[in-house]
Amino acid sequence: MATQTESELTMAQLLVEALNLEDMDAEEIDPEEQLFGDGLGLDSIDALEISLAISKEYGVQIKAEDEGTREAFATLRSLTAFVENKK
Amino acid sequence: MQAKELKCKIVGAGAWGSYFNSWESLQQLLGGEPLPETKNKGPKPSIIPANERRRAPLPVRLAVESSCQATQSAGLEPNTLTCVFASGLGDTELTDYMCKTLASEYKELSPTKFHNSVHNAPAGYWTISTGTMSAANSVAGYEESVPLTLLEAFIQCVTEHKPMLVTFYDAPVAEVLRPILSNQETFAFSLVILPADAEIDGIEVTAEVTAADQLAWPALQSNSDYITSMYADNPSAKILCLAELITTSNGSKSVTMPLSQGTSISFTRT
Repeated sequence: MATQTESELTMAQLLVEALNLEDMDAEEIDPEEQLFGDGLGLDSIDALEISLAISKEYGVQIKAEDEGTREAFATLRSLTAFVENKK
Repeated sequence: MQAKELKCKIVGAGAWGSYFNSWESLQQLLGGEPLPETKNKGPKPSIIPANERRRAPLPVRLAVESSCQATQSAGLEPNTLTCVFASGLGDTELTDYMCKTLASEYKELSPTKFHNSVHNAPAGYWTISTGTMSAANSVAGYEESVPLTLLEAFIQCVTEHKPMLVTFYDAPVAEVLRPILSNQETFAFSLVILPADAEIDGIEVTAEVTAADQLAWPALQSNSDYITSMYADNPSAKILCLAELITTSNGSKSVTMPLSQGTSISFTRT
């Protein structure tokens, strides 16, 4: 597994808490693993939940129709970078 | 008006609470056994797929756990049963969350909490988890939830000639509502009810509605503080008077519950 940066760990903690991921610690999320589908197995309700949590925590709005949203949601690494850029 | 008699057969039961995790362990408490030393943590019914389970709040997990137990004890496939789910209080934690969020400056609701806030959320989780396409009804009637739901289930069982799953569940009340709703206990109970002519062993019970006031709930035979306070405060635990009736060690043959102003419903073992 790739090593998490400090900001990726913070984002991973937000995901574990917002999505109530059973039996999973924030440290265990591989920053390069796919969040949706085959990887972590998240789904569309999770995407909405993540958007809400990020909006509350960082004041960053993620819109479904925006270009780049799909890429942002690919992995923990891309999501963290996306939010860092928009803050 | 002639009172209508509804005869059915109880062929399975399930139960879950802080100090019991099956119908058998609830029967032991009703029979006077002491409480276990430790409280159960919330149930985690494995029948709910993992992605759905992590989103399932306590009332949902209670309802699905006891429903699962009851269908297993009846030896029936869950997707063959028409369901009625009942809660007197609903999910007060989510009600509180929704009200607080909508009254705050930041009004965006969690989509998960929003979709869990509807009264038929447990019915939804159950039908998704079991793949059942049968009808699933959800009833709320505060302290009369149990008799109203039993009447609904018995009527469907007799008139539609359908096997029924009936589940009662109520979780502890959110702190903000405690001045008006006193329930602090976790309780879920399920019954599988078949038409009286079904070829499965069971306990025959006849329900009869009468135009007579029954103002008070019947006293339980149990004198356990835990059981009697749950019976008094948790709307779903009102089923305990019927649970005692169908417990083999119990001598009583009949129990009468208030149904509405001017009507009552009695259940008699036949």
